[in-house]
Amino acid sequence: MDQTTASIVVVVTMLLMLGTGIWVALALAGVGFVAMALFTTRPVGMVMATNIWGASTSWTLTALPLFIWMGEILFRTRISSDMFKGLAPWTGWLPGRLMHVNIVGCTIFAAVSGSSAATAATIGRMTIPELTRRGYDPMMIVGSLAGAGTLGLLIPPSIIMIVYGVAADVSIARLFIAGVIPGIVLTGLFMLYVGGWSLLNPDRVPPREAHQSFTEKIRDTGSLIPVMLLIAGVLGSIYAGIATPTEAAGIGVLGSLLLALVTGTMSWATFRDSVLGAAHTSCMIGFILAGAAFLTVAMGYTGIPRLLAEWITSMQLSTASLLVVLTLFFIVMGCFLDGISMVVLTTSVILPMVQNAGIDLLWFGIYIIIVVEMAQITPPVGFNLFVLQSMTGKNIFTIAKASLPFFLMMIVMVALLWIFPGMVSWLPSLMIG
Amino acid sequence: MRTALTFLYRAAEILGAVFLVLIAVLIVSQVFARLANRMVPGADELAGYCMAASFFLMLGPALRRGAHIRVGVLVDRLRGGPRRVVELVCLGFGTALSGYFAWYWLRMTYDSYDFGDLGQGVLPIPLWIPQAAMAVGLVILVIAFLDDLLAVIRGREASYQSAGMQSEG
Amino acid sequence: ETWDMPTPYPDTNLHTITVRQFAEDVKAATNGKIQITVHSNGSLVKHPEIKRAVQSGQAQIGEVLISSWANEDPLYGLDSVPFLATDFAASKKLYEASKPYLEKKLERQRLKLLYSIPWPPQGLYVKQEIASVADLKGQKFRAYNPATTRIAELAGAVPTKIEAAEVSQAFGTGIVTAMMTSAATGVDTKAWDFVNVYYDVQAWLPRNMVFVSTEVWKGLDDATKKAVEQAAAKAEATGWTEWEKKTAELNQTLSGNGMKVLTPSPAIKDGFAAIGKTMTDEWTKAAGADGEAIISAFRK
Ligand code: NA
Ligand code: NA
Repeated sequence: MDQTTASIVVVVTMLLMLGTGIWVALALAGVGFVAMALFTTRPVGMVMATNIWGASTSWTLTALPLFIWMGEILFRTRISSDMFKGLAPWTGWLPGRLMHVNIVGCTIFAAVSGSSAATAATIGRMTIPELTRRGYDPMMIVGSLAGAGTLGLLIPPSIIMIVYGVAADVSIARLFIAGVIPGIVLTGLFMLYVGGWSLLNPDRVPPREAHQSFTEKIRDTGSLIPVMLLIAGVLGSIYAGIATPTEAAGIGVLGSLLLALVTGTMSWATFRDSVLGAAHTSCMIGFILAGAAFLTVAMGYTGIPRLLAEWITSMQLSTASLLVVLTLFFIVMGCFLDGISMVVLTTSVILPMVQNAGIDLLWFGIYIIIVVEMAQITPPVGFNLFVLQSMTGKNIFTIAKASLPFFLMMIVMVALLWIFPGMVSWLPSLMIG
Repeated sequence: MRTALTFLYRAAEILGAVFLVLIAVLIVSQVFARLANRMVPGADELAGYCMAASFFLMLGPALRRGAHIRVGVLVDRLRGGPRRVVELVCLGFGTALSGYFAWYWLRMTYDSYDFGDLGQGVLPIPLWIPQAAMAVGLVILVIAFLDDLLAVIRGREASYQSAGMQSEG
Repeated sequence: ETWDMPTPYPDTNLHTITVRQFAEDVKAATNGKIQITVHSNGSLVKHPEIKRAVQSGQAQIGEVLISSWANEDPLYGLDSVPFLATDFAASKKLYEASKPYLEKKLERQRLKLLYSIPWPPQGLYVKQEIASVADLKGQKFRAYNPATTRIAELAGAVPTKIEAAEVSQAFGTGIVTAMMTSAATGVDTKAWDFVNVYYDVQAWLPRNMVFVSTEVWKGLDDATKKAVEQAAAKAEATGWTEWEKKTAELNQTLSGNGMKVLTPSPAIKDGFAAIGKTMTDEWTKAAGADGEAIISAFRK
């Protein structure tokens, strides 16, 4: 059986299983099972058990359930609605108004969390109910969350940067710093889109809130203090050397619990509900991660991604067309595999080719992370889509449609990165040594 | 029978939640221990095992509450007979695959016990212990699938269909 | 037949380069009868699961860092007993002394040892220069297994658990201030980005091993077995000489990137030697009669 046939079988099986309504995690594992059973001679069940054991006990993953819990606590207390009350007076003049909270919130949270799903889930838990209540456009709410949630990967700390840094022999410290400017620029692009869309669709933006006097504004701003304290505490714990980025999630939970207690919004019932809610959501995401991990290893055994990458190598492309082809390759693969798997499975083949083409591996790292960000919001397999489906009940194609403009902004970002490589190299060049 | 199953799902759910809280307790105590120039031996590994135990114990209860997501474009549009057929296919597949997975999981757990596999970190924890906790969760998932499969065969709705977004509080 | 070979380290690492060469040699020597697909950098199986994967037939052959399994049997922790065998020659001698026992142990676990290659000696990475081991007192010393925890304790440092992925950031923010690892890992992780001083204390030479599943091995004919063994012997010989050659070069890379690469003073050496003595005694006690036999064969 050749690789083209194998790829077609894999894609068709996946579409069939997902289309029938089989639970996403089981569909991914099922596709892995079919691929291994048909195209390899390895003991499928053993591989499944061993691989999922390794994937579901990883230390860095522990940040995910904790951040989700933090979101559940904040959602159940007054802290998140207070945050909007405090921000409202200052965003009134801005086209898009409070919708920008989704984007800026994700950007700030991305500086704490290394995962895209955790970012979308934690911020979304706080913002979706508030923005919906205030009459903002539902499609724009989910689209901006899905898009901006992916910044968790680009703004340090970032799990995928660590994975890439090890594979490509690039300093992780430099990768982290290199992601800062592109992260801010991408945030800017997202905000630009939200602003532009709001100007063009004034009827779909809720009216400006009542005019306030300056003292009223200041008083409302005071309600930002708890959430500012929380952000400062969590970020501070990382940069003051008290906690590692993974541990910062624990500090976040502790901080939110303390805030909830101090503000008197925590009862036994809200505590219990927050834990149960977080445990259900994390279980849902963890189950899909496990299915995806097994699919990844099955793909590794079949050798399909590696052979596709080798096929690109054999085309002997010029630098620019190589990047165009690679971008298309990753976008298509990203529809079916999760981003980290894509990097893990293809770097061995792709990196030498990229180096031969004279592309700087640090630059390529940032490029590939933006491409992986796109994979988070392309159907049928996109983690941010799953997270938002679970939070809003909308189906993933609706959410993908809502995220499409943000996907396009990321393509613009790739182009900008190509035109202005200094965005990547400037900050790391200031590092000593 | 129904009471026993309800109790089983509820117990798994509570245990899953407790393990989630334990992750936070372990991580926060590791941070504070370090501030006091101490170490909580094996806190990292234990946190990872607690997370895995929480994920797996929650699998069954999450299914029943409709927390596991699916691509509903087709399923949600169907009513009556066709809907029932599709649900049967999904539940049959779910029962089979989770059963297959649980079987191999139990074998791996037994092997770990038999070989005396230990964690590689600071605390040499026998791996069969966390694996057994996860095995319990998987078996409960299989039971939950079977439970719903039988319900749909008997012409009732599956638990997750009526659950809506309960977990959304 | 095609063999899947999961390995833990990235493509640029000398161990992976050796593995790839070994795979080619096997292919050539068996006239293409055995083709090994190398899955580097944990891309197929993550490091902690590689041994189990080969034992249970998920892969035919694999490479691991032996001391990762030290909790399972003291024998797997022998190469990382600090200040016992501190250069390539001594490490080789220690390997020869322990090889029959290692082979026997692996045999019982359904694995056949093919070859074993060391890493360069482990050195001490610290933020600031130290005058003696006493200066490590109160420092946050990266501990990732019982042996490194014990070193930290004996040096009066605070054992601090940090996962490999978070090491650079942890140094940057001061969560850890000292660690022991090889110059090779220092270069791989670009240690100069987050730490200033490297002491070439030559604490121990950890070794990797490559093994094949006994079941797969039994299925081979004698000619093939011989061909694979010869390729393994060649890989082992090359690996030892290449790493030895590379060690000086690695130290230079560290200093070339602005790190202070220092030879430890006698005071530092004595302090570590004392720690080494304690830990060797502790290891021998844990490993029982076999352990004593290995250590006396090594010291002969
Ligand atoms: Na981040
Ligand atoms: Na996708």
